[in-house]
Amino acid sequence: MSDDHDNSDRDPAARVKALEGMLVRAGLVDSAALDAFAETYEQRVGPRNGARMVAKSWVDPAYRKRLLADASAAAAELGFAGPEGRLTAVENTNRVHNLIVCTLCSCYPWSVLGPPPLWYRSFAYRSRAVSDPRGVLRDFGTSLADDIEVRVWDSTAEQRYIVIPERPAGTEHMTEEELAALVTRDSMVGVEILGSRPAQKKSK
Amino acid sequence: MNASEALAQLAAAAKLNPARIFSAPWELRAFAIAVSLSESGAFKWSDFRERLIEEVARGDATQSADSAETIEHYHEHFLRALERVIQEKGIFTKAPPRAEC
Repeated sequence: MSDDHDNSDRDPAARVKALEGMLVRAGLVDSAALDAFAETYEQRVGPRNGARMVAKSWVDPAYRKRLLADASAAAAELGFAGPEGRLTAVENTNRVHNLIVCTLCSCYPWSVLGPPPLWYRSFAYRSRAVSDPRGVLRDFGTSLADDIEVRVWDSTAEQRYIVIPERPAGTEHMTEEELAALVTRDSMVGVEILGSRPAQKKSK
Repeated sequence: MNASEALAQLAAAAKLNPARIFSAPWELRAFAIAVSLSESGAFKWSDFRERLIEEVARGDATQSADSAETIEHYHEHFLRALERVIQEKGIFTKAPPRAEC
């Protein structure tokens, strides 16, 4: 960093990594604190748009119909249009459970779920989601009855997915806003069933 | 300046929903570094913000106002402003005022 003009053509990701390394060695920042910040953003802020779509689909049948017909348009309706290709919503029911993955890289519906978590980008998740989805779900503490069909959706740059989880029982009195606060990122990826985990349980 | 205030400020400046502001992991990381350094007192958020405004203004003079383009460059400006404030405030050379805990 002796001359920042020399630096500006380098890949920004490499520059951030180098900067973080220097700051950590100098004791000026703590990588764990940066991880914690990124994790909070990924879990709380990033997925908020998707959570609002899901909550609306629970209380507004006409919106749910539009969401299932064309999720890109239904997202745009709430101001969440993304530059990332077609978005399709897949709904969980008492017979079908959906799971999303990108087996080749890490295609993910950024505009509605924020940045993808590290595990979504991991080889372990990408390789097992298709071959052993029930095993993956078990790793996340999610067990499914044997008669529920699991559908796995492989995302691409042109086609991304969001899972509409089932509305948890006992939430009939809640407002749309309260419902949105219940919807987790993991439930919209399909690795969690809402209401089946202890509150605030974090994914691995 | 805490993280959520910083995020709200950044989102307003970039005219984006806070949930949409980062589109690559390095952007989020650079943001976390900036907030963390200002929280620990290595520099004042206003020192960083001044440079960010300069970098954005410099970018605006050379780019079209296309929004997708602008946000993509916004994080590059952000990173340059961060590199500059670290260098210009000499935070590697002077011991930062660290709180005991």
